[in-house]
Amino acid sequence: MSKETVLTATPTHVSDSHAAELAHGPSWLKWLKIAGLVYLLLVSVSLIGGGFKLAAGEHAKELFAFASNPVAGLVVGTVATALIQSSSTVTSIIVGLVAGGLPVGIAIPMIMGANIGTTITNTIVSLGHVRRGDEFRRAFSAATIHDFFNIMCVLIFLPLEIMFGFLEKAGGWLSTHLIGAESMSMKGMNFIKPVVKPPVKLIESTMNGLPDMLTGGVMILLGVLTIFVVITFIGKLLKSLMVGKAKDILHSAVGRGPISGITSGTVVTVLVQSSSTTTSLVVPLAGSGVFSLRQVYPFTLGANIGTCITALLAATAIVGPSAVFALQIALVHLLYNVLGVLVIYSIPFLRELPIKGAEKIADVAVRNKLVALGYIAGMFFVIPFVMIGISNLIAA
Amino acid sequence: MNVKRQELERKIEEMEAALASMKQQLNRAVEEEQHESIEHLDEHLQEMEHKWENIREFWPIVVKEFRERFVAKK
Repeated sequence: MSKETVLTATPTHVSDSHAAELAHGPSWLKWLKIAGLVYLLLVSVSLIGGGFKLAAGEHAKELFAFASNPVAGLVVGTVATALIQSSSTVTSIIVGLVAGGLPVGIAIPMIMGANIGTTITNTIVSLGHVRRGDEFRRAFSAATIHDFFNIMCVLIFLPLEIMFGFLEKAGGWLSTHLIGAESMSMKGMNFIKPVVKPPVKLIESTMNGLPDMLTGGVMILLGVLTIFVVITFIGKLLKSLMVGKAKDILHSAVGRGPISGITSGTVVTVLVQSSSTTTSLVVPLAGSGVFSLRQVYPFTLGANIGTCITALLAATAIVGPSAVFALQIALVHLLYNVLGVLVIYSIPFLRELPIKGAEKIADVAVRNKLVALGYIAGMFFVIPFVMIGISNLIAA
Repeated sequence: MNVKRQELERKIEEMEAALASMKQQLNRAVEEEQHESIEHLDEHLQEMEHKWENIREFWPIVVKEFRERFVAKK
């Protein structure tokens, strides 16, 4: 059943063809490549943390003062993820920045925004069905149900977070208990530091003599670029290695309830390390009419939970006193997504809203394609910036 | 109990049993279709690689609709 399938990517895009080349070869070689790429991911997160600390020094908070308005933070997370098309990349970068001194409170709305931004990918995938009316309606609703769910999460949890800071507190409590003040001083027991720090120190030392601000800036840039490339390549490799396993998981979820759907969505996302891959997979399944919107809905929610694994992995790269904050933001990401699913999906009235929203927008979009275009431009780019303007006006 | 009533109850029971059996058959058929569709997961993954082509395909349709709705009316 778990027959391996090697995927080939389109040669029209340079990074795609490189990634496709990387995805060839025997399984053991692919796993070896993944291990190397995970190591690079840890190095790049550490590079961002170190670079940000060096560039900002004690002024990290001032540097991100523009994002201290939670709406601005939300927009930064949404637009950055929509442009990069990878929430894993953005959350890993955020983990690195938090390790470098970005306050967790400022990073939380960015993490929430990353959830919204990542949904652009499956919406673009659904456009492939545009020439076939009913199929497009089903595909577009299967894609946008994720958007509506994530917006509802923000509408519920962001005001609560602003008022009570419950996610920050819960994440802080958990990370302190998981890392512990004592274990942070047990340097001899930490195996990440001796493995990750040497390349970071090497890069830092090659820029000896340059101002700290410049050195830090270059380190951040290098870290961001490396994370982007690494996560793209890991995604390609895992897709080719895990497609058989993903099939098995989906087969086992057929005919079972929503909990099985959520669990399989989570596991498939952990396996392929990409929520947009998972949510995009359901678009053709729903588009063909074989799966109903209600059947794919829990699966897309599982993707929200599964994607948290990357930030947790990135947090392991951070050692020393800032490790607790890096883990805190990664745990906030996990708590936020788990709570979102628990609260929205367990309350029947709330559960129905994303379904109704997705069906409504799909019905309109199938009659008027300009609505589909307006929806994508508005949801991911125009409305976010209008929201910044409004929130700044209110704050003034 | 009169015969007519008994006859009606028996017929209803038979129809309900037939309906339940047909529902079960339908569920099985739907699930078979779903398993069959999952077997094409690798093709769906490949489609994802071509997502930018979707925009290229979508754009002329949007432009055409825009012209029909706004430009043609002028």
